[in-house]
Amino acid sequence: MLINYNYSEEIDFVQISKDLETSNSIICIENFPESDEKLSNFIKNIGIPIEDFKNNKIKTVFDVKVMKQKGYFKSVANSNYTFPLHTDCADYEKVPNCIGLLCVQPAENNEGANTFVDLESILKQLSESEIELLTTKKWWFRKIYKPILEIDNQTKSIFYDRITMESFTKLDTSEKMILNKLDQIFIQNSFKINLKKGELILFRNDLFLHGRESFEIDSNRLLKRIRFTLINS
Amino acid sequence: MKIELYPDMDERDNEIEYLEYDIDENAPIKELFDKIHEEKNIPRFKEFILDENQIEKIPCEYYIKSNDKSYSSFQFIDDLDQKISEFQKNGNDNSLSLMINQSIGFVN
Ligand SMILES: [Fe+2]
Repeated sequence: MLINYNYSEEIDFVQISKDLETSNSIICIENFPESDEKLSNFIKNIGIPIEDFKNNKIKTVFDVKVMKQKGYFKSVANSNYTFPLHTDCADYEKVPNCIGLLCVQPAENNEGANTFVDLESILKQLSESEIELLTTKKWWFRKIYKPILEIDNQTKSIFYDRITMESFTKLDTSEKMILNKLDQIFIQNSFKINLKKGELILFRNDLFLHGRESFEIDSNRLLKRIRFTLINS
Repeated sequence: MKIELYPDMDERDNEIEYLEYDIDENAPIKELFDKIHEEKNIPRFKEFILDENQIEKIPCEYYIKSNDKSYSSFQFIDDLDQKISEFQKNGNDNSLSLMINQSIGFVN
């Protein structure tokens, strides 16, 4: 499930691109330098990074860390809470198909682990009629209306972000039951990775859901996040 | 003073609203936003359902338009205690162009 590389200037970008295009693995690059610019430039060799107005000075990178002002968090990502398994940018018109997370500082005592579940494992737990429902029933992701699963001959994708789906739209009891069952399947099939300082993981945002475990509010946990779309997709 | 209130980033098709307030420009800009919240009935927080037992309130964010028509020209207002007079009036007829974000970028 994990493909390991060591960071160097001569790293094999072609192979990393292939790994991301074709396999259901998570790529882990060790000894990655702690620099927004290096992270952004590195990703430009394999994909097109997405800029966001809330990002750092290097517009493709976001610091995932606790940010609390006057008693309120700036966002759910900037809290210390558990973040349930989700797709990033599920509410965007074009959802980036990859994410990079660079661990600058892990949380103390093995807290704040990253959690994942892959689409293949999810599909194995679903009946044909459930898959039919999830590929046809549409949901509001803020302003975007689409199904959770997209399956055709060539590709399979999952889009899921319950916090967005439930906070911007009122769900009825039967809809909540569908999502409760899904959440249960996600959790039962999930695995976790405790990132070490200097590890950059790259994974498919359309083939994995990701999340994190909670950690202490005064933790120095810092991950640098970059979202991108593979050049060949 | 005159205000151009731009629609939330999520509602870009909506019209700009034109407001006018009698306010001392030495006051912090948060007082101006207080007036806008009250008059336009805009909630100060958005509630996010983390799970059935936990709802998290996250405050709105405030932006000021610098000088062109694109949304990327909005600058985040970091210090709401800054005086109104210190912000550039880039709108029509010497008005202040503001936006209240209640929807984008609050989850992840
Ligand atoms: Fe995320």
